[in-house]
Amino acid sequence: MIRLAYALALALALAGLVHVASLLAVPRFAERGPYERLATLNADGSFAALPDEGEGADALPFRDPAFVEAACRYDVSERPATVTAALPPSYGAVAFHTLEGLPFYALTDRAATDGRVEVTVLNAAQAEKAEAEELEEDAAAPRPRIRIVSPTDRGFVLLRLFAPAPSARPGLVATALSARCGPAAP
Amino acid sequence: MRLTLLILLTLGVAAALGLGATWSTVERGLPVGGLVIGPWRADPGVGGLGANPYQRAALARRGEAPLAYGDGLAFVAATDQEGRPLSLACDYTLTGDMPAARLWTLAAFLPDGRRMANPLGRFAATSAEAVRMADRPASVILSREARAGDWLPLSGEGPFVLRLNLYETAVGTPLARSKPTLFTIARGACR
Repeated sequence: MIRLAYALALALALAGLVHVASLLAVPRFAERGPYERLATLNADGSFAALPDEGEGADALPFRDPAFVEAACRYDVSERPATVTAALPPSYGAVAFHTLEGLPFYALTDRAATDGRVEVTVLNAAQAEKAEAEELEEDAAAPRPRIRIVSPTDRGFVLLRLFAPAPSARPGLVATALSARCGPAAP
Repeated sequence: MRLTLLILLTLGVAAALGLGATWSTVERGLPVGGLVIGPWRADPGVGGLGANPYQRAALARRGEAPLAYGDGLAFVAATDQEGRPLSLACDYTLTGDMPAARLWTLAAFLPDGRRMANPLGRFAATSAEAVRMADRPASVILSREARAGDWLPLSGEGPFVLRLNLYETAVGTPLARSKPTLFTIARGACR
């Protein structure tokens, strides 16, 4: 009887370990995360609009249908990436997500100068180098430059523009597709 | 022989309980935690890198890209005000005052996050086109059949979930002053 009680106590303790270990492993083994779901869109290094009709409309689950969205997958392992986008005043946002899908930075149209934003994504090593260079350079940049460090080398950017009415959608898709997302100029 | 059986039993129970707890929390989320307002639930923690392992696992399972802190906050409802699961066979009336936010959008999804068939292409009700009557709170009607007023069409059979997104709001951040009110979900006729 005592033995059975011991066995049960041991089972409970082991169950806790199994739970923690399996929980931490879920993101690693999930094969259909947002980054992977965007693979079919041809969104590597340039913005691609998320379709509103057909199978592609469900590429990202629970995507707000009132928004026009475009996605771009970046890879900063070799060179930093620069994102330039126009954000209309009806509400627009650029959100930067890690490989796992967690957002680590977001800007809305309120932060835009002349209705545009420009953000450079770097990894930790590039950020250090850029800071060192900036100290040497004259601080006379044409526009305030925003630099953010990506926690993962690969990740994705979502450009989300609010459509106040369905008739606004085609224009917003064109705006979204005019956004640039690619390697930073050296 | 009995010892071997006991060891096997211990390992079996440990694996079943541990994996069962993981499955349940990933599928349904933790039973407590987050921001709960009536039938609505939000998880402000997913809006940044500080998300906890439960939130990370649930996100990876759903494949969703959540809204960032400062951008917006998403509320989900799977039941009406009285706790009955939302069903596509029923009509629902949503009324209430919204907390301060730059805009809100309301959309219905299938439980796995897919959109439902919608011949009119009207997938969302938003603050930009909501019909406001003087001295009356905003109101949205959900039904499979056309309704007067701010109507969000439903289609199909079975359960569904509602998503209410607030954009540029202090709700869910440490800056929120008080617990806000959201739409109440009243069930009408069912067919």
